This record gives sequence, structure tokens and C-alpha cells, in this order.
Amino acid sequence: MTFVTTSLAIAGVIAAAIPILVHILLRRRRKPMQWAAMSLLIEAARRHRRKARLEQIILLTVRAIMLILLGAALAQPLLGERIGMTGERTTHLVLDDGIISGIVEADGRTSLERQVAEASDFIESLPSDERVSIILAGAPVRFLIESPTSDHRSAIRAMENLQAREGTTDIATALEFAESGLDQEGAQEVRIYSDFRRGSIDDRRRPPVLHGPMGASVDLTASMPISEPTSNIQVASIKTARSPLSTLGTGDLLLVEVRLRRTGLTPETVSNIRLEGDAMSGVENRRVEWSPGRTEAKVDFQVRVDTDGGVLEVAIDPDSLPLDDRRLVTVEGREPTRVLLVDRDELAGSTRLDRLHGTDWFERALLPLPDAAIAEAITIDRVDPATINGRDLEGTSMVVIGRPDLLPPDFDPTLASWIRRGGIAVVLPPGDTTTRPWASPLLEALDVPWAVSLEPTMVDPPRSLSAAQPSSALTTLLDAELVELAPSVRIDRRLPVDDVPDGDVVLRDDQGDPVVLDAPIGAGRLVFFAVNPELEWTDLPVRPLMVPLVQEIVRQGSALSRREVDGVVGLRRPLIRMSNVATVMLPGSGSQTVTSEELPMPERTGMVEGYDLGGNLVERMVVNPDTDGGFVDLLAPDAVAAWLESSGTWRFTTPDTREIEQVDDESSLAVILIIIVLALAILETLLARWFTRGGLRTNRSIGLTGANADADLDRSRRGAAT
Amino acid sequence: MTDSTPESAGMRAEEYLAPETIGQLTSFEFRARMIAEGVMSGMHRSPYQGLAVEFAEHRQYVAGDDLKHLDWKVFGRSDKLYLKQYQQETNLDVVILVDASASMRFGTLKVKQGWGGTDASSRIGTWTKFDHATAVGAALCYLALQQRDRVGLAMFADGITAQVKRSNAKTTWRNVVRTLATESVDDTTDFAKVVEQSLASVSNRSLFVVVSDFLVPTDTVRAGLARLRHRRHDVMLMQILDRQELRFDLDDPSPFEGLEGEGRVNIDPRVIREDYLAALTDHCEKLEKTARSLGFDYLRLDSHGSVGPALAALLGRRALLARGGRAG
Repeated sequence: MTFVTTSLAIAGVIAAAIPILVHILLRRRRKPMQWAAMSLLIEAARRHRRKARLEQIILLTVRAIMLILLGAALAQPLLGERIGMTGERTTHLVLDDGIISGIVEADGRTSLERQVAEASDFIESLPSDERVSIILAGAPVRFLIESPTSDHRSAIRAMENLQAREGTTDIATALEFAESGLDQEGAQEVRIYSDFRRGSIDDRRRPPVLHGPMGASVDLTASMPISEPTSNIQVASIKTARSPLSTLGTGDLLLVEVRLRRTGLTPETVSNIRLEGDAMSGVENRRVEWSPGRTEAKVDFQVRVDTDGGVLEVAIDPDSLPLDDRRLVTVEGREPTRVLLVDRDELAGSTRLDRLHGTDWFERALLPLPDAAIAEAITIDRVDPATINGRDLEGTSMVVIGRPDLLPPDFDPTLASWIRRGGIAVVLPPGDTTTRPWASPLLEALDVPWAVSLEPTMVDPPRSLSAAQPSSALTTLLDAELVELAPSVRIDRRLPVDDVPDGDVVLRDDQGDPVVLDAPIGAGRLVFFAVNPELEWTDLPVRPLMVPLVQEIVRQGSALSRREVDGVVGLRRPLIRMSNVATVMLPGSGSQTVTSEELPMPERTGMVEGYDLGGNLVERMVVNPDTDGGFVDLLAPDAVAAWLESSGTWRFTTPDTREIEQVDDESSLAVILIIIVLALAILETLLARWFTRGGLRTNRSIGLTGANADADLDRSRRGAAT
Repeated sequence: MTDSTPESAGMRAEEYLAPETIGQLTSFEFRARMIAEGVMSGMHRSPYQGLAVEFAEHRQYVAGDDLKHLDWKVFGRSDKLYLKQYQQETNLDVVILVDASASMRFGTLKVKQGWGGTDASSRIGTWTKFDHATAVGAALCYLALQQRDRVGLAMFADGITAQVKRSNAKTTWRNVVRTLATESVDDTTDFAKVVEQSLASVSNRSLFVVVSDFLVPTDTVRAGLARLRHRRHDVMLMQILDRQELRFDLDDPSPFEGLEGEGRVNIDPRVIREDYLAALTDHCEKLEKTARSLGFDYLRLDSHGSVGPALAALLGRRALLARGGRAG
């Protein structure tokens, strides 16, 4: 043992000697007192001994209770449910290392570094027998220390190199992790270290109920929501679209739409946006002037990219949260788009227009001109529906199914899997003959809610497409032309489809019934024609709308699917579409062998590269930050408490109050005990005085008097008066 | 102008008879005389008034005398005011027993250098119970001799250690004073033996005045008193206790050592004060009850207080005896 101030310790020892010295100096050797009425004194002592025995028992009891309570107070007993619990105390620390914790504060530290410092201080303050586990709440949520340990030094070391990740904060899942560890013996505490900004809380989810074994309640503590406002501008999204005629000339012309979002403080400021990449030549920076209160901005770039494709990066000036100031996007190389037509080849070679199937009209719309460039861009294959299998779908971007009723019954799951990995399936009604109820199994496999009738109905009088068509991702570039092109299309027959959400309608007739539907499924899409593009059903195939409609379905569908292939940290895995990918390089994780269709949930942003068995790069994807977790708006403690309420009653602490509250919490009963001890000490003093003085009577008896006492009394009174 | 009210006169007398006053008198004789005179002067009316006494002489009337004792015949004859004065018919034998045991050495009233007193007081520098007892005894002797009673004195401890035979001769007073002044104070008390020895020397009916602290078992006192009662003697018990014994107002724990060889005991006075006072009260009450039950007088005196009440009590008792009555 050592002392911080040794001189004070010596002074204490010297001070302790003072009362001892005074006691020795003042100790008197009392002379025996000569006493005449000794027999009475002995009789009195004998009488007192009987009474004193009871008094001593009472005093002994009070003093013993005082010591017991003092010992209990020094042991710092705990209130409430902790009383009676056995085993060590376990604290489950939930540390917010989501993207929001990457905020750089005024002192240059990130929010995560501050939280780690506070958590380290807390762990250091714990008694050596208390255990801790650590859960990191940044998506994907994981344990830093799963098995609670009393090795506090190791726990602190484990937190030293933590860095904020680009995933959103998922406290609800982190608390589920913590809940799984609450069944251990002993008192349990869950303690959250987070700034509790807007991005820390997902309102769509609620934390689980937290309770210990046998329903015992758990001590729930969270850091006080931060009250330091800041501003954050993030690259919210990047959309790319090739120009329809981009294949002409040198390189492809690419439209890049960048959306910026601002949260927190919204002062007047300026953002510079840079667009860079290995697939493009340099482009001038753009500038966004933010007026006060403005929260969103859109910037369009038009760049010419290499035919081999590549990766583009959009970056803005670093701000308080640098992790969402950069975003990547992949640009496809100019590879031919393979379209597979699935239909019976009954009238192959027939040129009679009225006998052409819908798939035939699709083929004509895909290759409207004998242009070499377009022919190079699109490859069309045909397969009989009865013989189709999974291998036919390899390398196919889009499949047009003319006879869905003839597909093998076991093909639906294969098709669904292919669509989810980014494939575009265009399904046409079978026509007059239907061999089986095909719609329900297929839609069920794709988890699409539509209700498609088995048989088509004649439309009499014929309908036309509505001039006011809904906004659809597939027809974004046709919106301006649809007003003129759509009303000219006549519809004579249709397959009724019900239960269609508004967002799934691409084209509708003048009666409001859907004609073309579109549903995103995984990374791919299902496009369904309720009106088969055959002349018996409609004159759409011979109308000007047919070619651009089919072209857009292919191009925009592919682009949309491509967008879903990229990953988001902690939220979405990048999709491998190429079947020959054997290994992938993930950012922050190194090389991994592909053993299943799904890659692990990405933990870092960056580029994902897929290699075949020969080590050749065959596919590239990117992983971007989850910008939804980067909202820096402040939240009131009440709002956070309300969100956390479903898991129990939380207590907020700050670094300044933590120790006080900790002491107060752990010694609240100790304080009560000490108060009782003090009360007992007073009682003991009074009792001892009472017993010593023969009671608390203030008018002490004067004893006996002599017959001459009255005269003496008068004499003394008169003496005092004079 | 002199205050002549009975109360003020009595107070003056008692103040005059306070130990602080009489302790300063070195001569026992003078001390005793002063006590007796003080008591007499404090009484407005003579204790002899109303007694069956024989006419002795006339004296001239002075202001304040009771008019009922005027001799109207003389006034008729000579036109002068004379009071009739009487002579007591019978004499009384008074035996004063003064306790000289070691317990009487106890006292807490400090005396100053040069004050008179007994050997006991001069040794420890305090006014002891024995000092008070001798003062009372001497005064009683003087008073009795003034009344022409026969007076005897006996000092006792574990037996009678010295005595003066009963007599009303002029030499008796000197013997009494000498005995009181020179007797040693020692030994334990054997009250029964003292009574037996006293009875052996007394044949006629007498008034025994026992001056003692009576710190002996009450049974032995009762036995002695019963013997005296059986012999038709009258008794006055004068218990002398020091004020500290009566009040036990001590604070510091000390070893207490008995004066008559009871040994030493460590005692915290604050702790046992109430029990001590209870024991003392019990003892005194038993003593008084014993005396009253036999028709005797009991008087407890504080050695820090005046000695006057003792003499007044004697005079009252004597008057009662002269009328042939008996207290109790």
C-alpha cells in the first residue's frame, strides 16, 4: 500500500496521538474516599448490580445492532430486486459504433472514441468480481465480448481499436443480443453508450423486453442523449442511366444523378461535389449552394464512360460526419444483353402478323432495325417452355415467357431465385388455351400479392390506354411521350388482375384497370402484361409505343436490377450474378470463397470483386454506407425514453453524474443504514446516560435532609439575597 | 430597631448556632453556653411556662413580658408592676450518650485554620459528625444543668469508653467538657453493649439522649431501645449525619473505604446514587419507626446545619416529661 500524500498520513498518526496523550496526562490516581455509611453503600451497590445487568444487556444489544448495521452499510447493500440475488453482477455494455458515431467532435475525437473512453472508465470503476460483455450496435450487430468476463483490462483493450462503421445503428438488435445474456446468475445491468441522435434510432423497430432469470428486473442505464447540434451533408444516392443511343460514338454516354441530403443544423453553406472513377475521364466539379433550411439537393452529371464499365465515386467536402461523404456506383461494361424468349415455336417462319405471338412482337421490338450496333448489344435466344431449365437462365438478363402455363411445375422456384438475383421476367398471358392454373403458383413463389384470373375476358367496347399513366421506374424516360402514344392503343381482350398495389402499375387502360404491371423482387423484377401484345388482344404491337416500351423495360429494368446488386453496410449483401464467381474480395474482410449464393453481410464500404477459378476478375460490385443512419438531428431524452420504454425503464446518465449515481445507487440502502446507526448511537448515548445518572430526570433528587435543613435553607436563601 | 418577632428571633438564633459560627469557638464551655443561650433567646415564650412549678421570686416587669404573670396584688399595693417567677418542683436525670466510634470521624464541611474542635476534626480539617455530636452534647448538658437537672455523660463505641456520673454539682460541667474534648474517636459500635453498660449505672428513671450516626443494624438499635423502654426510661435518638451522606452528591468514580474496617469498594457515585439514597432512606425510616414504636423521640440532624433544633427538642421533651406525659 502507498499514499498519494505521505505527509498527510503522518499528520494523521500524530493527530491520533494527541487524544491519547491528553488521556494519559489527565489520568488521575484517585485517592480512596473515607466513608462512614459503608454498609449502605455496599447495599446500594448490591441493589444496583441486579438493575445494571438488565441495563448492560440492553446497551449490549443496541451496540451489537449498531455494529451489524455499520458492517452492512460498509458492504454497500443494494436496494430492490438486487437484494437476495446471488452471484456476481454482470453488465452488458451496448456500444454504438454505427455510422452516427463517426461524428468528429470539436476536440478532434470521434463520438465513438468518446463513448469508448467513458465505457473504459466505467469498466475500470467496477469491482474486480463484476463481469462485462460488450455488444457493438452498429449494423451488422455483433458481440465484441460475448461471454461476460471479469478481466476488465482485456475488455478495455478490446475496445481500443474500435472504429465507427458505415452501417446504421441498430440498438434494438443489440438489445436482443444483450437479452440473450440476461439468463445468467447474479444481478444484471444493461448499459448503452450512444449519442442517441436521429440516426441512432430506428422507429420501425422496438427494443425487446429485458428481464433477468425468473422474470427478475434488470438495471437499465443509458447515456444521456447528446445536446451538441451539428450539421451533416451526405451523398444519399447515385442513379445512373445510359442514354438510349449511347452505344453510338466513342464510349457510352452516362447520366449520373447525385442526390445530397442535409440533416441537423441547416445554415447557409456550399458543397463541392467531385465525380471520379476508373471508367471515365475527368469531369468538372459541381457546386451546391445550400440556403438556410434547405435539406436536399440534386446534381446531374453527363459523362462518357468506358465500354468496359467500371466504378464511379462521388465525394463531397468532408464535414462533421465524413463516413457518408463518399459513395460508389458500378457502371456496366458494354456487354450484350441476352434476352430469352420462352414460347412454343408453332409458327416459326410465319409472316402473318395476326398469327404472331407476343414473344414474336417482343423480338421485333427489341431489334426494330437491322442495325449492327444494336444487334451487338442485344442477343436473343428462344427456348421451348416445356424444356426450359435453370441452365437456360445463366447469363440471361431478361426472359420473356409467352406460355407460362407450359412451364414445368418445378421451374417456378428456379425462376424465382433467378429473379431475386437480378433477373427480369416478363410474363405474358397464355392466350386462348391454358393447360394449368399457372398464375397462383408462380406469384406465390415470387411472393407477389396479385390475383390473376385464369381466363381472359373480351373488352367490348374496346378500351384504350389512358393518357394519364402512373409514374413508374420502368417508364421514367417515356413519361413525356406516353401522353401522346398511349391513347392510340386499343384493347380488345384483357386478363383481369386484382389486388394490385398502385405502385405496381406501369400502364393502365382508360377504365383504370392495369395493363402492364411491375413488381421488384429482390434484385430483379417481374413485369406482367395483363394484355398480351398480340393483335387478337390489342393493337399495341403495331403502335409506336411498342418499341420504346420494350426497349425501356430492358434498359431500365437492367439498370434497376444493377442498382440492387450493390451492397449496403450492415443492411444488404452484394449479389453475385455470375455463376462462375469462385472467390470474392470483400472490403475489410479479404478474400472469401463463395460457397453459397449469399455473401456475408458487409461491414465496410468499398469495392467487391468476384474472381473465377482462373483468378480472372469477372464481376464487380460496391458496398456503400447506410446513409439512413447518418441523421444527426438531436433527440430529446423523453423521445429516446419513449422509444426504449418497451424494454423497461431506463435511467440516463452523463459522465459527470455517473459516479455519483453509481455511488448513490449502490449505497442508497447504506445511507439508510448509516442513518439508523446514527440514530442508534444517539439512543445508546441517551440510554447510557440514563442508566449512569439513574434516569433522564432533570430535577435530580436532593436526597435526605436533617431536621435542621429548613433552617439552613432559609439561611442560605437570605445569604444569597444579601 | 431590633426585630422582636418570634420568627426573626428564631432565625437569628439558629444562624447564631450554625456550625460555621460555633466552630470558631475554641472553648467548649463557651461554645455550649452560647448554644444554650442562643436557643433560649430565640424562644419568645419560656418553656417553663405552664408547668407545675413552685413560686420563687418577683422581678420587675419589662416591656414584652406576658401580662398574665403580673402579680396584681403587688400592683394593688405598691402600684408597681412585678412578675411572679417560679421554681421547678422536681429535677430530671439526663444521661447523654455520645457516639465516639470511627464512623463519627466523617465530615465534609471544611473548617478553617485555628478553629476549635475535637481531635477528629483537627486531624482531617473538616467539621465531623463527632464535632457536631459534641457540640450538641455539651449544649444539652449545659442546658440541663441550668435547669438544675442531674446530668451524666457517656462516650461510647464498642462499649462505654468514658463517662461522667450524673450530678448537678458545679464540677459536673467541667468534667463533661473535659471528657468531650479529650475522648478519642475510634473503634466500631456495639450499641447493645453500650445500653447494657449504661443501665448498670442508672437506677432511677432517666432521660437518655443518644447522639450518634446510628450506622449500625437497626435490629441492634431496636434491642437496645427495648431494654431502655423495659426499664421505663425515656429516650431521645439524635442521628447525626453529614450532608454528603444525606445527599451523596458526588460525581467522580472513586474507591470508597469504610471507616470501621468494612474494606474498600470502587464505586461510581452517579450510578448508584439513587440506590444509595433508597438504602439510606430505608435505614432512617426503620430507625425512626423503631423509636416511635417504643414511644421515643427521633431527630435526624445534618452536621452542616445548626444545632438549635436538638436543644429545642430536648426542652420540649423535658416539658412533656414534667407534666407526666409521654410522647408517642
